[in-house]
Amino acid sequence: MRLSLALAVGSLARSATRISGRGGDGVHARGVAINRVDPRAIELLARGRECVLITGTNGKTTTAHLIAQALGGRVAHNSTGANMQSGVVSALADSIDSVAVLEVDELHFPAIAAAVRPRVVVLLNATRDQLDRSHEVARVAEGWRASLATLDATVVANAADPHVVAATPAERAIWCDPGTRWCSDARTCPRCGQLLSWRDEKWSCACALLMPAPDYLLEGDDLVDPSGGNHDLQLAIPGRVNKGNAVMAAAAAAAMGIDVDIALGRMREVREASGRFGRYDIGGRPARLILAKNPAGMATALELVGESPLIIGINARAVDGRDTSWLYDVRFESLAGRTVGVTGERRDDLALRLHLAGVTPLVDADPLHLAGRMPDGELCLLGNYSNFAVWRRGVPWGT
Amino acid sequence: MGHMTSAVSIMCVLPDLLGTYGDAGNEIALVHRLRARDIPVEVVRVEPGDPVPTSGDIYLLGGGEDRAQALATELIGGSLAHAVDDGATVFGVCAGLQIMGRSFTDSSGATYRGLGLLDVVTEPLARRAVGEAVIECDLPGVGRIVGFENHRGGTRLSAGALPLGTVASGVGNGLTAGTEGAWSGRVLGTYLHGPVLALNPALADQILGWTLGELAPIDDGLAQRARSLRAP
Repeated sequence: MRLSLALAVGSLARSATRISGRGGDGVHARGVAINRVDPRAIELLARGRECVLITGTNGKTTTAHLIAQALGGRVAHNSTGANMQSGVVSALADSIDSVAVLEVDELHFPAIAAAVRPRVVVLLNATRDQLDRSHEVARVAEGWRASLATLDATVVANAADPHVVAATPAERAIWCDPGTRWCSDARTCPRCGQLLSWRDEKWSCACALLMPAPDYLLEGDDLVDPSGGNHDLQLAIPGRVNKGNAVMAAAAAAAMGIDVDIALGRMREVREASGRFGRYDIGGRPARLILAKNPAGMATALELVGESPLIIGINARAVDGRDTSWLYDVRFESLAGRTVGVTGERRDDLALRLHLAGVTPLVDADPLHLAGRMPDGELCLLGNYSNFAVWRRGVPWGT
Repeated sequence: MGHMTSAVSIMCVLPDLLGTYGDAGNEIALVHRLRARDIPVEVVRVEPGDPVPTSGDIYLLGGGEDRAQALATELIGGSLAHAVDDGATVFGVCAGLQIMGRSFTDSSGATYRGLGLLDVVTEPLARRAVGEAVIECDLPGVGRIVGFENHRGGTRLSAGALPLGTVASGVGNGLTAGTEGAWSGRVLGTYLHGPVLALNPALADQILGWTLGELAPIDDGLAQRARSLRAP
């Protein structure tokens, strides 16, 4: 009874947001209203459904899109990346499908997981992000550990990330090696605090915590399955990091009963994930959009950009993290000698960072205008969250 | 001193343990300021397991998580005290400030012995201090310091340490109210990230000046623009 009232109030809130013309799709307003009227709405709406939850610092949205597609597409899915309580409840209320694929903010994971009781959890990675908000990687991962201990979910876990491994109940784990090695946030053992050893692409600690042998792994361009069979990924979305995300997505799909080759065939249809990697018209030029919101994400994005002309937009709103210090944890020195377009509300912070890296910043508040000042070639636009959220509402290229 | 004939040596102490929160930018800023003046510089990254060389001119310590902080203190041992006796400069940020004191107590209540370079102690604050901070610096010629603080520990200064400055906005040391940072001789610590030496060229030159004496001005236009966002 209370839930139906909550859903009705939620619909009103969504309509009000849309009619008010203040922008936004009303997902957040609706979700907030539903949760306020019935605080148990997520639990009630998730009841009887098989849920896959995806969390981690980077790759949540893309991996959730890959999994949703791999499961056949008919799923409840917070596809725009609204991954806190309001986005999750909206996605569940919008769909009657019996399966839900939900990406979940890493700090909100324990509360949401307790409500939905997932069948499968995907733990991607834990690296520094929005330090003013989440504070310490070790504490985020400790929250996952405590939460997962109370659930009976199968955990598809990144074996290469010590924080993930320490958080995962080994008896329910499906270990994946997505090929990434981000040791900067995992120098000490998450279990005992001693120095971790990173050697020969593996990590270990004297306390016996060590990188588990993977069930699924990325080998070159192939996924290797638990029986040792190779599968060529051939994804439409670019970058090595997405090959790793696809390995974890295929493992999650397999845990949901979908054959690896069927899952991969479906994942190849994913061309973008809520704007990520999509091609947009930026000032009359085609530009690929990439979200890069923390050091690990930016390092991955720079690798993906290669020699393409590049514009970077940095903001420091609450959703981005208020502290721009993280720009110095990115090796922008790899761009030394190049000219890079700089935009966003914190363009002056980024310009200083790039200058100190030997890069020439071309600063402009307007990314469309900036696009016209950049050298020829397919542009790449890298932005942290609140820049990216504006760009992806723009015009797709060729429409 | 050796630096007149050889390069200025900057020792980044355990950057993998004490280098989160962008504090690598302090090294990047100092190197930039030396190169812009054609002053040769060599940077050594001291990794876990390596002995900390005592021959450096400037030692940099950054922020870190609780466990990494305790481990770093153990690994550094008495080496920095020797370097300071030989006239070296030590600059620490956040956890780097805390471990330079006599002791520090982490959020779980465990107390560790510090490096003993500054007459300060650190204990948990009631609330984490997070946000932009502006400091009126007591060091002559430095002026306003801007940066971003993010710390659970607060620091109490005793007679042997002077504050780096007075808090204009933000929390700073917390336990010695209204003050931020601490210094004594050529040992200086602050809670400010940012990174603080990139955003505050005058503070960076003050630290370089302890090794090099008077320095020629360089163009700091981009740093001034980034500062003006924080302290108009």
